[in-house]
Amino acid sequence: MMKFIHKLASPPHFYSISSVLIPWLAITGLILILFGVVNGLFFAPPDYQQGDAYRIIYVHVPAAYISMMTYTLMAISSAIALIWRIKLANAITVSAAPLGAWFTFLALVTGSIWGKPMWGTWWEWGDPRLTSELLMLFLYFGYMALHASIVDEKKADQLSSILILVGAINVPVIHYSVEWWSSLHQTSTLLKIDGPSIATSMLIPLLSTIFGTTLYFLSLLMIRTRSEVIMRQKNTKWVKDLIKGVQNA
Amino acid sequence: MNKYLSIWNGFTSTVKRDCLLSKKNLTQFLNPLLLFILVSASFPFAVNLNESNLSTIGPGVIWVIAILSFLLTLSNLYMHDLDDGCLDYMLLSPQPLPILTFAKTFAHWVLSGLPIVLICPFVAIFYQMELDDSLVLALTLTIGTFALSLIGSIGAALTLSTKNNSILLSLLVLPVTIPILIFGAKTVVLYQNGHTSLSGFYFIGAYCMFALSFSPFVSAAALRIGSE
Amino acid sequence: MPINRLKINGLTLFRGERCLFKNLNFVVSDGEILLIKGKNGSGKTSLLRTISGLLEPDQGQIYWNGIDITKNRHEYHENLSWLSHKHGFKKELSVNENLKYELSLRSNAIQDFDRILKKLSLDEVKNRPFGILSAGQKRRASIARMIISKAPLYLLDEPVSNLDSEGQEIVRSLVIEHTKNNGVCVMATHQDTFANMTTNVIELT
Repeated sequence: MMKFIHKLASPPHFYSISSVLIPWLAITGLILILFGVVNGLFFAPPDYQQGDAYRIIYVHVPAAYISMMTYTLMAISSAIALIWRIKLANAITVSAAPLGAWFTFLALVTGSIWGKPMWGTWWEWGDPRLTSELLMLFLYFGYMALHASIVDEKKADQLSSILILVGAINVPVIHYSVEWWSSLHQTSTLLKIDGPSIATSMLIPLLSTIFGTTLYFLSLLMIRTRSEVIMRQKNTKWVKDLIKGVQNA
Repeated sequence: MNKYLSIWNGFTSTVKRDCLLSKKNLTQFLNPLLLFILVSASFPFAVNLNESNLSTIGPGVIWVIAILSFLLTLSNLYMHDLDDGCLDYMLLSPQPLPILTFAKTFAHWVLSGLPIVLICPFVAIFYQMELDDSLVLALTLTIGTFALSLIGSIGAALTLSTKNNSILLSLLVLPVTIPILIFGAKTVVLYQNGHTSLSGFYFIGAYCMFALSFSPFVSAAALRIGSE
Repeated sequence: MPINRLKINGLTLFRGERCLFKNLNFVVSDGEILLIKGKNGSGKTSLLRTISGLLEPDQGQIYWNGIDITKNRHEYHENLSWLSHKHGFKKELSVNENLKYELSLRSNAIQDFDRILKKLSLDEVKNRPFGILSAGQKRRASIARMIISKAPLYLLDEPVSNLDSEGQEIVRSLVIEHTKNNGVCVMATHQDTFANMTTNVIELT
């Protein structure tokens, strides 16, 4: 078991697995997204309250979900890097940050576009979910800024990992804010004990886009992590052999 | 027993030393306070509002200016110790490092936060706020600035080895202070409108306690990593 | 096992890609001096900082009295005193105030240090702000701090840099007296002043 984990954490092993996985993840993800978007835009019925305006859900919910999932992923890999000193975990955290920031931005923008016809306003400062999601965007920026401004790489990794862990409390706040406080945002529709409270014809494309975006995100993360790993290990034998192999091909 | 006594001694003597240093460096102590007073005073002149509107925006504005002037001194929390070598001695002292970081954070609050709290009833006069409203404001600021000291100490420790760290520090600390800002200002506004519930205080108090539970330890860890 | 012994096991440190030292092993007993020699930038300060626990090595362990220092930081710090070219005193406070603060952090330091200050000729300036002291006086104040701490392990980083011959002599006599009292000294320096005092030498390149 430990040998399996050790192998998983080894950068050259990660490099070879990811080259196999990336095409599968990306293509499956894109197919699912395409299916979900086409189904959602053209075949799902209009909502009885919101009409056709609700269809932005097929972009907004995956983006918001990925933004929170990325932060959780970064928090876990930061903890792994700090406690067990696994170098691959640092590469994953650094690579995931810009992706998470983009998805958070996307979630905020699509949410704002959705909010204008629904709530009558682009933004609402008192709303806890909006504020904590914005806070998460700033945490991503803070991480990237802190990591970029420390010269020594090992120090940069460790200090920014601490930052991510301190800010990790924000993720449950975003998720439960609609239950704890009164918010413009609606409460949970999918993760309920007695099943999702959404029509099946709307649910299928939504699940499709969520899973599709997750797979696509994972493929993007792997691509970024591959280059990060190569950059960090550029003086090791396996990278030099890799480059020689590419040059000879 | 002796061990706890010596830890208490370490805490009090560090707080006393930082206060003594501030006494010898009076300009550094007064600058943020003067900034607080001047900016709060200029705001009503710039914004041409009538009396009732001014007292409505007063709490929020004073809160924001308090946070900004507070942040001025935050980047220096560990910087001076790094420059003259005292940080190494802090890291090598037999005292537990979280005690020393908490002592410095507490001293920072006493020197930067408490004066703001004491001055703010006078500043509130510029915004035509009633006396009891300004006292509620002062109370929210007391807890809020303490929480800010705690969070800021983590930020200061994380950004210690970077250049231009005061800007980066503000980027890291300001977003995290948005919740206290919202609740702090809102509590005063609610009080102004007649609601006397303590719910806002509960939130700020909880935030402060939460920050207190990890801030000394995280600052200590960040200082150790930063000094390697 | 003799008391107050320092043992280093397999110490390795990399700075980025560069290896500063690899698989370092040595033992220092009571009354001994360990000299770390090397040119500027060779890693002397890093090695000293690793021994003090400020820096974490990539591999290897350090033992004080047989116990790993990472497992017992508190006791290790009680037993060591540090001297570096950044003196670690507040320049606005007087020597007296600075030393009193240091005292309050330790539980078994010397309470009455006036005679130590007198011996180091710091008597007249002990109530003046630290910032106005000369380089030699500042170094002597650091030495006073070391003596007051009553620590068995002295770690000195370039103790004679910027000192005239009189200052260097004071550092020499400090080291000699400490080792006479069965203390341990670890010193990092690129100068040859202490070369003939000990045979325990690590040379870093």
